[in-house]
Amino acid sequence: MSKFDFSQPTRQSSKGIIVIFGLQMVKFLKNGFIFLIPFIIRFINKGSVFGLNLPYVLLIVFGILALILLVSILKYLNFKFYSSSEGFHLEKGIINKENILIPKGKIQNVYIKQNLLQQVINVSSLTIETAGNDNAEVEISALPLDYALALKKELMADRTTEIWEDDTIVYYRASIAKLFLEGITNNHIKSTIIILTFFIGWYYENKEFLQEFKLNEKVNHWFPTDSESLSTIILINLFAILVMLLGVMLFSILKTILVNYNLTVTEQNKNLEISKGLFNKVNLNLLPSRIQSIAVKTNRIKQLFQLHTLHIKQAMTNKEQKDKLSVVGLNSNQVDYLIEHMYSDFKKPKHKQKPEFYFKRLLIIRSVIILLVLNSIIYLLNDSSFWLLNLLVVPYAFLFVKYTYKKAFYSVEENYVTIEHGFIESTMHILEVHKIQSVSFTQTIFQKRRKIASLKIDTASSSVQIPHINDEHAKYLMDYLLYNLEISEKNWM
Amino acid sequence: MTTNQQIVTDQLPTIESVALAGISKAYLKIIYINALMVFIVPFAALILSFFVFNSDADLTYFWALLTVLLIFFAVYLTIAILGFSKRRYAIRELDVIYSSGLIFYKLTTVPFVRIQHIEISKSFLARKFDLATLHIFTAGASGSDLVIKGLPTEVAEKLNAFLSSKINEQV
Repeated sequence: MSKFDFSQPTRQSSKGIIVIFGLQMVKFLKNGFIFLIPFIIRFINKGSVFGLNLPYVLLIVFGILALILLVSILKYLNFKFYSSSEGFHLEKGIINKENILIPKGKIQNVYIKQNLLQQVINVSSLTIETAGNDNAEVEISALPLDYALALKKELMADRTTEIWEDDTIVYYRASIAKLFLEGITNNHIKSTIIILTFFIGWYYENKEFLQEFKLNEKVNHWFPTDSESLSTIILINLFAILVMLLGVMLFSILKTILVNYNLTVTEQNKNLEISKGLFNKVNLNLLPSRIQSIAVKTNRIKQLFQLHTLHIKQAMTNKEQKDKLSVVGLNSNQVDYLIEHMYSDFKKPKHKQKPEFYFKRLLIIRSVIILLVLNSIIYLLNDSSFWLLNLLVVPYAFLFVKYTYKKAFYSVEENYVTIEHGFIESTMHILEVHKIQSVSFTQTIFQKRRKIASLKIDTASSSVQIPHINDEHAKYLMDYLLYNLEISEKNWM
Repeated sequence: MTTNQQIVTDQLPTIESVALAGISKAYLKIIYINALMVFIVPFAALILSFFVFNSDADLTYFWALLTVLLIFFAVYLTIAILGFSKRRYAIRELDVIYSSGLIFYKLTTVPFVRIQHIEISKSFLARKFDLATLHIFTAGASGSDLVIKGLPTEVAEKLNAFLSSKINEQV
């Protein structure tokens, strides 16, 4: 059946040494770089460290490299795997020997990935994921692609015999232009604020280090500030914000393209597979039994261009994969089609319900409190120009209340719960009732006075809320959900 | 309204009709002790700072701060004591229910079929009063787990045995 023999203990491709070496280098630099920075700076400034000049330093660097290479070769030599009727065997370890056996039935998923280095030397890595915690994973870092695919087939053979027939249909492929559009229409306000706070934090942590670069003088050189009038200050700030926004946009576009490069959704019989990434190619299987909930996200501008992002939340995926289980740049037909693939009997809810008016009142009260706090700070600052901030913040608060309430919907049906929320972004969560882990009825004393309550619904991957509805109705929905959940024969996984 | 023709609304088993049982009265003592423990550090700090480290300080501030702290303590204790009666649980044919919280009331239901495992734990204090905590884990986020504190050890063990048998039935 296969041209490869998996029953003999084998090493990975000898190129594996390069990959292991690369990984070890990255690990070494990641852990050690911070400690090395002061030495590097001193070396560049003075030409020597601890009285050692260039030849000695080079010798030390080469010594470290040789050591890492030696470790990599030993790791390579001591890494063997084979497949038997019992399952997948792996022997590894230089000093501490490990013998790992993974029964085939326990294998949850097999991923094939390529990072940049692996792409250059034309090998791919294979990750075997088992049920259990994040550590219960095995990765073989360098295999020829056809070998990796054959091994994947061999390992998954038990469960998915018919899936491996070659009727793969490429359902969706995102073009660069689409990814560009997707990147440019992201919510940049949020990332600007994140980057700004990050920079401020970083600046204070490295203040002394930065002062060596004499940044202040340079800034003064670019913007001669002898005339410290209000208009120049505003102009400089506007300029800085503009530069930052452009930077954020560029970053966002780059990131979107890198992460989603060559994003394809393929269909193999009934199973969906997502593959994407430029430097880190990933290949993810969507197993219907493991999907816990899905979310469709878009924002105002994206809506104009028909760009929706589909997030799929699976149980028992590690953090890294959780973030990657999304498909960007879909139009609404494609979204519907993909949803239908995962939830075959799902229909868009006909009777969407809204939270009670209490929700809007709460949003208004919260906004007013924030505005009051902000204005009292401005009052204390005693600088009249800050009052102008209100011109920006008050309309924002008004729009926030209006649209957050307008966009809030929910629907509870026999098999599905749908919840919509958002302000600039719109999010629609859909989950199957039989995936629910627990249901909570929550009510604060303020809600109780007005006969309002919220429902919290937990699944294995996320928790969603139906906020501020009539408490009798909340009780009814809780009973209804529990009833449907408990009579359902289906398991959550 | 939800579209549901299969079962008439008033035929649904309702949680409202379930009589929830309170936890052990002895747990009140643990609530008192816990409240004391929370406030012992600020009280001690206040007294030390005025009488040991800075003995000639203005005592008006001491009384003012002491009053504020006492008010906080009283409010904290009142909420904790009134909240005691909200700590209730029940077991139905197919699920476990637990409620708690005076200001933030929360009633959670976990179906037996979604329980991953169950744990009984006893803190040092709880052992003195022969109480135990029943921790019911689901596969959901940690917030969705059920933690029933202040059960008599005997009851906790009975519940544990009962729920474990229910879980094993499914396998």
